Amino acid sequence: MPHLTIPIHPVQGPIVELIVGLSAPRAQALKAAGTAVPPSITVKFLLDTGASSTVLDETIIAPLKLVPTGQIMVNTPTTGGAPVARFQYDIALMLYHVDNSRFFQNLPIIATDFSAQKIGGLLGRDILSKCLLVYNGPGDRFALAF
Amino acid sequence: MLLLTENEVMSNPLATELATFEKMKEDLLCHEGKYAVIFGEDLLGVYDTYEDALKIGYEKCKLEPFLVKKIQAVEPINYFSRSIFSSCPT
Repeated sequence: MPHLTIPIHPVQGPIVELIVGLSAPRAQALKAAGTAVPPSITVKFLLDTGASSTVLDETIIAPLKLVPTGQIMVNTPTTGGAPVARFQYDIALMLYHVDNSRFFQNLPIIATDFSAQKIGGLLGRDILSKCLLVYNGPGDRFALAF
Repeated sequence: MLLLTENEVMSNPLATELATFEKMKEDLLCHEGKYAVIFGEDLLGVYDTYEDALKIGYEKCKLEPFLVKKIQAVEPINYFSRSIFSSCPT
């Protein structure tokens, strides 16, 4: 099972870089329409076991020309008792490994503003449920196997 | 019932599709757990997986807005321990 062992960022925590691109069906639709397919982007994700699903910084939505194809209900400490509706976008994610990268071809995600937190997104339990995560606090490292 | 924020009601590219889904939801519940693809006021089909539904959506609708929605009697809530949204988001 390929794995990455990465130092824990002293401020941001367990950060892993993933490559974000268009889902395969959306890329094909753009090509068929004669529209250029936006290049994939490397994004810093915080591993977050407290996130039901993966979240992307909304500044990445525009360059990837993403449009919503779904909507889900979300609840956070600041939404109060009533959940709020958020758009879902479909993307592709790649966990890069020199020998055996892992692709998530059609992944529904939601978006929000992470600019103040200096991260590009949260890697939630939709992806973490397919990985093995070892958080070595005393060793200041974490390992993510996929 | 989906609750849209005020801004999303004002400029929701999926407003028609979401309303269509709500209208059809009772009839679609016999397919609970599968994924519906809605384009405007039309149901394009029901598919076993999100991947299949997304593929059909783009094949049939091209770059026009369409909705992929999991058919569930009770709309699940996604929880986030970080305060990533306010009650009145963007």
